[in-house]
Amino acid sequence: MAGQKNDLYARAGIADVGDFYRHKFVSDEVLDARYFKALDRFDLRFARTMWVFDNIRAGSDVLDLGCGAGMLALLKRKGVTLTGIDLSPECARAARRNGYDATLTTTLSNLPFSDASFDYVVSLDVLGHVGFEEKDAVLGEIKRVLRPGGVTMHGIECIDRNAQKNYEEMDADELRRFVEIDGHVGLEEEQEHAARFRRFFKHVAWESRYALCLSSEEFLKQADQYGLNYFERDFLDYLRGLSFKERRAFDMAMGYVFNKISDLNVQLPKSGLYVFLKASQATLGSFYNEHRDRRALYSPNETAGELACLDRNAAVTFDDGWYEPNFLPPVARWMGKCGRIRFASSSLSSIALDLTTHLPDLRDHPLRLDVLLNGEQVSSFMLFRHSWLNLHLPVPTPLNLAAGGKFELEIRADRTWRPRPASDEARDDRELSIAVCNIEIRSEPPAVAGG
Amino acid sequence: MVSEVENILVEIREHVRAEEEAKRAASGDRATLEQPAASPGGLTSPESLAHLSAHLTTTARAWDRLPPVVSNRTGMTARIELWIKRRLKKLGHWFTWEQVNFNSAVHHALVETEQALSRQAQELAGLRAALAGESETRGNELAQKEKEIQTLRSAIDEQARKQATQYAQSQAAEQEARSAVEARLSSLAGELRERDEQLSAEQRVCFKQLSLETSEAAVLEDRGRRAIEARVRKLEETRDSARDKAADARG
Repeated sequence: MAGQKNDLYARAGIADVGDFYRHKFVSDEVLDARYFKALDRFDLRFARTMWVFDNIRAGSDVLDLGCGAGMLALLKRKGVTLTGIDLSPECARAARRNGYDATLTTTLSNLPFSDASFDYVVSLDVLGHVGFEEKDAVLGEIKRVLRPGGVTMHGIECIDRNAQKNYEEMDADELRRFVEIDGHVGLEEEQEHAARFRRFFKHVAWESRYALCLSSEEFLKQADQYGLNYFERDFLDYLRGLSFKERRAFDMAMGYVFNKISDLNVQLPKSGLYVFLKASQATLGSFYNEHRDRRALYSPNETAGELACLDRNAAVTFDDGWYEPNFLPPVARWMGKCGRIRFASSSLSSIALDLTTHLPDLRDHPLRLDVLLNGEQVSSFMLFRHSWLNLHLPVPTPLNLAAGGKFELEIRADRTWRPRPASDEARDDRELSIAVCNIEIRSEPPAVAGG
Repeated sequence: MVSEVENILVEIREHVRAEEEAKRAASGDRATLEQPAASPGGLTSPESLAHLSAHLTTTARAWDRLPPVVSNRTGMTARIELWIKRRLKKLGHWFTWEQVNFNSAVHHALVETEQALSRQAQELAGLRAALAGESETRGNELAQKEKEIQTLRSAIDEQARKQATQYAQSQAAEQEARSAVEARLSSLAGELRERDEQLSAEQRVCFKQLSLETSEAAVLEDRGRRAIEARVRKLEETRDSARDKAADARG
């Protein structure tokens, strides 16, 4: 798209499309597959990712068009070779950081790959950003780089012409406001997308999605920014009042329903919002779960003998006292007032971790931290400076022996702070205390006395 | 004839009185006013001119008068005397007229001299008045200048005081700024040191994270390699076993 004259972007006053997307879609969120918790499969945020995850073959070559920060990084759990392209170099770098094997900054209509290079070409929330004059060129490129029998899968934003104006009907101000929300300059109706794909591929299947399940943020965005009046006002007010954790619980519930609709292959009515689309020159398999194999989501990572790092281990459970990993750097998890980590180990001699806090006025009011292992206090100290602290906790032998291989590490902080003001657009009302990473456990045999 | 003499005497008396009054007035004025200095000969002083004018009044009246022919005798002697005097008068007529002419010349010369002196005195008075005016103007100007100088001096003094105050203030401000800069530098150094320590700690944690990830990757790679080698061995064993079986079957 970059470098090409796109009349709608120009009419909307967006001169530098790459820069526009950099501001819209670059984030420091950690999408690295190694940090993915099995429970996140129900999070509506990852619903589209899970659709792709369940439809690709393990070990295949996948191209992610418009990779953004790397929403498909989870595919690495299936051992695929994952390549991403994006207009924005910052997005490409973020995706690389999140585990993509290769990322490039380029346009979609001129892919820098030889013919038949990929088993899958995937995009999520991208084709709605491609201008009408460019769409056919993009589909042509997708067809070119797909191997014979390869499948292309897309999650595409749509428009409901009964509820929203066409681009031609919008005046300059309406168009500017509409495009500025997400950068949508190529929204079509669901069947129009399908018809376009049919011109390039023999087999096309599509399903309307998001007719029922939307995240709390998306409900509010569709109502407040896109002006859709499908939703009840009191329900929207209720969503506005939800806290960070309540929003996550709402999104998990929505994601659970979303997944069940896929699992049960329930046909939804036209939503006018979004469509999942699969296309191929070869006969398509089932629309959902064609290559469903979720073992990689649950299986623990292989670790090195006596030393194990719990941060990226799928067998380790971080309870709700912990928030999603953030790229500070390093990649670390923020904790609320109390966080627990459950893990199994045949033996445990010591625990080491790095922690920091961004709490204000730490010098005047040091932060008290208590560390407990299986309910027994193993350390207590005050944190009085903003820096990374390496904490090394020897585990008493009786505690190790009594644990029976199952451990629960608990950290308690005596206070928290809210890093963002309540008026912040992101409505981030998280209460944070410390960030933790590099949680290593050692299971050395006890030293022989006098040895 | 007698009245004429009386008149002359009266005039002389009045003139003397006028002179005395003028002298008194002049001496009184000197005490209070600074009179311009008389010329060395005193000819151009107002008194001298007044004297001269008084004398000229007398000469103007008497330069051509001759004494009457009178006798204090009586009788014949008186007539003889008068006759002789008349004859002498006629005989000395030429001398008398010469004297009259001389008197006239002297009188007129003196009048002209007096007039010239008067003009000169007037001119001098004019000049003196002009000088006095000029002097007064200059004096005023001088006073004005002195006033201005005084004002300027006051302004300069005020300016100097202000500058001194400003200098003191700037010295104080400089000192304060220096102290503030030193404090800020010290604070910045502390902050920098703290940030440096934080950055070092952050780098340590990042490197540790990388190290852990690398060791994880190395273990995974090693395990993968060993799994592949095991599979290869198993395949080779299967192949050898199949080969042996085939050989047995052939044999």
